[in-house]
Amino acid sequence: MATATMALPNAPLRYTAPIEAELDYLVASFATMPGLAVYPARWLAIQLLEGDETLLAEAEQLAGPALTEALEASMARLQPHYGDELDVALVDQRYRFVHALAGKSLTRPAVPPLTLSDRIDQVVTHRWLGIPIFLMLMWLVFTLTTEVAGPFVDWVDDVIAGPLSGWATALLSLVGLGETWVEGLVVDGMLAGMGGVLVFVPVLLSLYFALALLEDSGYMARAAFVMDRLMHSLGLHGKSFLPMIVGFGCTVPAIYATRTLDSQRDRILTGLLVPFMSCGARLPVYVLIAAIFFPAQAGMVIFGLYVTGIVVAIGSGMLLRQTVFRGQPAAPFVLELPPYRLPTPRGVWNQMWERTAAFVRKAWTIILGTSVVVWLLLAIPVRGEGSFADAPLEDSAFATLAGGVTPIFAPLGFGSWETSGALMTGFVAKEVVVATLIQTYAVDEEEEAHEATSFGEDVLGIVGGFLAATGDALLAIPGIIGFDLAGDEEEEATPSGLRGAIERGFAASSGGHSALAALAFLVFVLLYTPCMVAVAAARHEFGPRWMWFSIVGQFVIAWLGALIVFQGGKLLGL
Amino acid sequence: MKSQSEVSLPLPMASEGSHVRIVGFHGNQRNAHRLAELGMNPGVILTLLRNNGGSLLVAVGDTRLALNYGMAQAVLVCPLEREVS
Amino acid sequence: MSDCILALAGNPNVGKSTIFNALTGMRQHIGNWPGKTVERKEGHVQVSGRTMTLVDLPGTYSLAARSLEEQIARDFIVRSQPKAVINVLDAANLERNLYLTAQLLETGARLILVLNMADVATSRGLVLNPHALSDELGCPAITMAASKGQGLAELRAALQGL
Repeated sequence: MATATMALPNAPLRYTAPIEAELDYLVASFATMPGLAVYPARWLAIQLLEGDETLLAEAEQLAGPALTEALEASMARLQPHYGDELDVALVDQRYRFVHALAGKSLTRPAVPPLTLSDRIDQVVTHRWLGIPIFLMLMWLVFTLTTEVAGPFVDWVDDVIAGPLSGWATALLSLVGLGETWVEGLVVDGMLAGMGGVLVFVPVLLSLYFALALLEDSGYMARAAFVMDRLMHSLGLHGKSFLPMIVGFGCTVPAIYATRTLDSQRDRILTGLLVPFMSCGARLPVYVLIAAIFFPAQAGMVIFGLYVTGIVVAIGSGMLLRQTVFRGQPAAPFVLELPPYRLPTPRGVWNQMWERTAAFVRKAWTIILGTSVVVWLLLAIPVRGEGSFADAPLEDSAFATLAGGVTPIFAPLGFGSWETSGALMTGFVAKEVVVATLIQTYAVDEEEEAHEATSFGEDVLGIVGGFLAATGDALLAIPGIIGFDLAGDEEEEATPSGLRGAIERGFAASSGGHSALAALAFLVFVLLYTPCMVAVAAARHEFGPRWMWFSIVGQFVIAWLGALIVFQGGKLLGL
Repeated sequence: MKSQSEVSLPLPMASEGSHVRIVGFHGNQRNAHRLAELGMNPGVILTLLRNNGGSLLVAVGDTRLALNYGMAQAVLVCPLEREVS
Repeated sequence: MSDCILALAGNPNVGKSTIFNALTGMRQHIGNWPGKTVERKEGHVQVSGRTMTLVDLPGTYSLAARSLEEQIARDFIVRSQPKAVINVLDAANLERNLYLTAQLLETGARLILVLNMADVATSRGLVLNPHALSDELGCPAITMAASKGQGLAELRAALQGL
């Protein structure tokens, strides 16, 4: 026990005599080096003896070689006492101090109870049960995100397409701009773009809700432990799983989450694989296309895409480990498992809100900007007779631009300018793929006759729709656990005009194999660059070289994947 | 409790449920420092809660730590006889 | 406006952000540390008419600066010299958490110790004696269960004394 320090308030931590002697020596030496006055002297001495390299570099800049000499002299004198383990010795002595302190301020029960946390861990980290439990929880997160968010996504869509567009049109008519190109820009460009962002909010809120529950309860750290062995086969370790899970929500925070990993190699490898985790932004594309081409098996198709992403990530991970990262094993890691805790509503809400808001702040300019640019390119005629905002779409600048890249996609079955254009804008952000498809295929669709409704009726409609969505979402919850209260009679009502146009488009570009082409299109959407923001994040985190590696690699994999689906399917006679 | 023997072995070789005393570290000093800061100092007694083929879960006082094989390999321990409680 | 700067330090998973939110309410600013991509949260605390700026440091086990988070926390405490550092500890894992406290003391910073999650500690049969800790280290020590709002008034009172 630290008897010598017991009686004193402010009892300072004293190290063993040889170390204290060197601390005194170093503090005295520092006094002669004026540059070092910015640091607390004793603290600096301790840190330097403990081998703090960043601080040493900093201090050497300020004090020059005199510091290095003094430190080396001290180290040499301590060498006989502690060998190469001076840093561990310092930590150990600090722990002894702390142990004495804890002894005075804490009384333990004679028989420590087996905590609830330990009992939960006996099941959750079990050698055989661990992975099934983990997979089950991930399945719950996935269904929660899709089923519960679904009704709200529809509601946001309805509000934007209905009342909001109606109000904007009415407002523009009031100032004499009705029926002009300004109306087109506002309603089809800006409002549609805004819808593209807002549709995400329910999806991200429910995903981050689920992740916050898993994190705040303490389960995430267990997941890392449980997944460690599996991840090992990818050349990664359990900690890489956290960014991967976040990747199901949004690739951007997932790339930033790689920062929790200790080595640069783990960070880069994880960052390269994260984009294959199908993010929330890709979901609306799957939903639209699957509802049109695979109405009966839409759920299976979507789930299959998620699994495909994981399989491709595993394959790429193994390949990269054998090639680019050959001879670099996964870094050693240690991770604390915090005790299980009941998440607080406030804490969960804060996380949900902060993360979703951060995404919206980051994405809205890009998405809105792209929508407006696409609208403009669609509005500008480059051939034919039409004038600005009043020309056939096939004559637009957009069609010409997109037409230039269609040969690349022709072998994949979706070489039309509409799909190529959607994939081009999809490079900017996946959520605009749907918007672009709608703009290109359905702009000429007859306006759904908007019944003249009053402002009051609109507001009632919005509120009523929200309540109905809440009801649907609540009904969906038992469905996740296996009961189906809602029934499925109401199927996704894709506007029939759009549906027909997309069906005809895929049939034409694939020579009649429209379902195969649609599947190939979905696989391509799954595997190529998620979005501009993710590219920027990758550049920021890993540098331009890895950014390009990632873009090109993903494009090649996506192209090959879609080719296998389309051509392979045709060979099999599908 | 007393030590069964003074032989030391890498932590992943110890069996699940056993109590071990940390004898020292080998390999990268950085890892040793990190582990020591989390309370895994030489002389400290650990309980090996799980040993899933190299991924380990250990109890150090009130702290529960997960270590992967690479990290656990650096810890040399000496197995103890079961505590007489 | 703000008459002094306070820092909030502690291990990961000790309820630091709950305390940060409880003290600052909606008066928060979220950004990044200069030149780094680690999130920086800052907020204002009102204590009997005074406004103090509270900076939430990244959760770390140590100040040895082997990671970016540790380096940020350490640089802020040593360079910006906050008026006081509120050190949040997990009362149910006191010894491991006090390790960071020992390092914080070495920087010469003025500390306010918050033994959070005291309810969990009590449920495990642990009996805390914050006075002993306070006497030993010469700084205020407060027991708290932030998720239940217990102990926040005492922390505010301690801030008033700065």
